[in-house]
Amino acid sequence: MIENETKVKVKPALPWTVIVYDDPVNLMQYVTMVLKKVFGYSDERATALMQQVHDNGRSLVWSGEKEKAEFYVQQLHTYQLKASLEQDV
Amino acid sequence: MRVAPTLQGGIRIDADCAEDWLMLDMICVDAAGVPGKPLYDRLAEKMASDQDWEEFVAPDIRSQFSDQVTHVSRSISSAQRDEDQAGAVIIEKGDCITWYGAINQARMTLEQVYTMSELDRSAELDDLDELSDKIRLALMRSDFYTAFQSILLDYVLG
Repeated sequence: MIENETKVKVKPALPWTVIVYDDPVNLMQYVTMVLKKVFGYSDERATALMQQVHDNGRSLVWSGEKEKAEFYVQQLHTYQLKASLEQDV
Repeated sequence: MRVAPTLQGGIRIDADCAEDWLMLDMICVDAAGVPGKPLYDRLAEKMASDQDWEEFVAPDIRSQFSDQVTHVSRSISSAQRDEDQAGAVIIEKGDCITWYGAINQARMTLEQVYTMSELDRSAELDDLDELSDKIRLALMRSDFYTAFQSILLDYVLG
């Protein structure tokens, strides 16, 4: 016997991204240090992201679940970096 | 004034005169005197539309910023000084990030008030006498704060 089947398509949730913005006060060395501390990035990766912030005015520094993104933004604010989260579209 | 790393991994500030103590006191005066929007509101302006963020996250961070200034103020005011106003402030390794944060708040105030980043530094420093007292003093404080932060980063935090 064949029962009616309902097909449900589940779309994965779009990831959230953490953005860090450039500001005229925070020292480049400090921004690199914070990115290493908060995300555990290598010196090389943190320096590259810091340079993106400096050159482009902002940089996408992390992407993933909303709760984790919120936690990271909170950490970045604690270190006095200007940051926010956005959902990828 | 001399600011140098200690063998215990912290920082020691040796102040030699009343002017040095005034310069240290100004960290907290500047940090507490942010005009316009409070510091945290400016850092988190992109999160302003999130009511939960304002309710659950922002108060803790505002409180941390305030605690940084209070800690530095207490450390400076409780430091021993002799009759010539010579004395030292010892910053333990674990407190260096708190000091960095308070100094950062002071620099943010100076940026907000004087837009230090847009001043033509070389031209301004050549003509110090031409500048108003307020800007001249702000430049001196800004340079001191930045140098202090660089020492903290180079020897303790970095």
